[in-house]
Amino acid sequence: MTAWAVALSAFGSLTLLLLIGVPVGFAMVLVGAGGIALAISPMAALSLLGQIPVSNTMSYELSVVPMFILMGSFIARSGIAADLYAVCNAFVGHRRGGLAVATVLACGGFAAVCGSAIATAATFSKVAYPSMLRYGYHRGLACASICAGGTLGILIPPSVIMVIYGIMTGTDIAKLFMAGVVPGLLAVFLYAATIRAIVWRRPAAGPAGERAPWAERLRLLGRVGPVVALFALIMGGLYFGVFTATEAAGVGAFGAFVFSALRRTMGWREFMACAAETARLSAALFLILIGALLFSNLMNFTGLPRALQGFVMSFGVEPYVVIAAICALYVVLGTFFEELSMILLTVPIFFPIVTGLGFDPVWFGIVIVMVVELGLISPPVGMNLFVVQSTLDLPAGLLFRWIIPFVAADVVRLALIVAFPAIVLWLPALMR
Amino acid sequence: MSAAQGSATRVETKAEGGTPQRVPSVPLGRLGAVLETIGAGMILAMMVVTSIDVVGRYFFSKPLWGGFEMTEILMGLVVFAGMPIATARREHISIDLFEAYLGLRTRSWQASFGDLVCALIAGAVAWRMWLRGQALLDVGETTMQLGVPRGLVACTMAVLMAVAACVFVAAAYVALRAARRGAQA
Repeated sequence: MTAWAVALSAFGSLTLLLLIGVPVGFAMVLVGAGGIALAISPMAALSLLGQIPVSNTMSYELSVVPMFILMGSFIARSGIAADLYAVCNAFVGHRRGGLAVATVLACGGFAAVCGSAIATAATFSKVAYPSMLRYGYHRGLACASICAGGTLGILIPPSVIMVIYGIMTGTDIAKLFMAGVVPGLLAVFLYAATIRAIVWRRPAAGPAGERAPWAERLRLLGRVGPVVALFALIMGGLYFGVFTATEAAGVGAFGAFVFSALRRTMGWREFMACAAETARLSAALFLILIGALLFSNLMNFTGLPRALQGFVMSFGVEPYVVIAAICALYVVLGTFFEELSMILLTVPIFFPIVTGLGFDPVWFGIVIVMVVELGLISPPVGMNLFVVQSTLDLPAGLLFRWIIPFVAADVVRLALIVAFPAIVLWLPALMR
Repeated sequence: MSAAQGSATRVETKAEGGTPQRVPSVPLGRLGAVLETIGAGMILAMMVVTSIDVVGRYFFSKPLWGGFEMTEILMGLVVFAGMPIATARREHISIDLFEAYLGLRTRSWQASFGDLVCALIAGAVAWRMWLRGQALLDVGETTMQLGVPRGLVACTMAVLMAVAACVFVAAAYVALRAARRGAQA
């Protein structure tokens, strides 16, 4: 069978399995191993089935994944989100739309110590939504700003998605983290601008809050000091090469642990709950990783990446057309596919093409993260929309109209990053 | 990206009237509690090991003896210790495009079928991991400093995966019962 036939039947049967509700990781294990058995040899399939789960979990480097999840879990339960929100409110809440802008700013701050978009959105649903409602904000604007702000969780480092991309492609995780900083600030700015534009057209959607005196602002600022310290510890350590991403994750988790313990908002029961949750999530996540590795072994055996590269080259199109096509494909896939498995399945295939065309692996990583962000808030099945709706028990569909301007802001940002790669690559280039 | 991103909050889908509309999870009882505690303990241990290692290396230029291997072993064990409990709580990531349109009964049938498929796959993986562990034991491969036989760790991981396969069978049964109960109601 040719590479194309194998790839088509593999992706076809995978889609079928997923549609009938088989969990993603197990479906990929089945198709990957089954495909290798049929296309190569049953013995090869059986031996990989034993080898991959053992050697790819007993790995020092991969401990970066559970440690960053643990850090985010501690942070999410520590109650720091409320403090961050209070600070941002004190500074911008008195402006029109200020509470929504404060939500986005606080999400950005939270994202600096948490690597998950879902956790960020879920946390701020509880923290920011009630006070926006109290000040008479439109429910749609309140929710949309939380959904959009939540996506910052994976763009502003640390980011679990960047870690996974780095592991899959062998790209330096520290550089990926540095690369996320400026686009993250750009994202905060564009979201804030979007909110201002919305309340300029519909002032009733986001009335101004109370003005906080400077003494109050400064007092609140002191309370979020530890978050700044934690972020500085991780990023500073990575920037100056004091430790690797793996070590940064362990130290970051420990820092979050100490920080939460000092706040006295968490006892042993909560710490154990966070750790147990991390263990369960790691199991679910590594299963997907194992499945994806089997799947990409199948693709490599059959030579799909090379076949696809040859196919793309044969057109002789501009490299940027290829990037645009890949982005478009991701946006379409992302509207119904689960984002992490989408990345794990497709990046091994696209990565050689993209780097072969001369694009920077770090830059492509950030592009991928942004496309995922877009998928998270794209109606009808964006995961963040779902999380916010179900956390707040709101009717489905309420958000769809209000999220569109934020989706547009994401598209603008993606276009800027593609047009000006320096936005991404400037900071990592300064490292050592 | 449901579980993958590390949500700190479980997302509950609620139907009108507030009754949970989830396919029931598997009550693991004592076994679940033990695995949760072991998994959580190993996660916290990994955090402490890495931190001591970094502090030791940076401030005293003396990394933790065997720290690297401890992390490796803990990683393997923690991932597979989490497998049965993630399975019991139905936290494996799946794509539920049509979930909103299907009733609890249909979804229960579907879940039951999916659980059986997963039980077979998990069983096969556990079997191959066990053999891999045996092969490593035969070669006598041990970690560099601590001298822990890698095969022993791999076999333990295989056993945990086999437990996960059993939990999938139990999950299929629980889902089936929910589906039949739905039929009577």
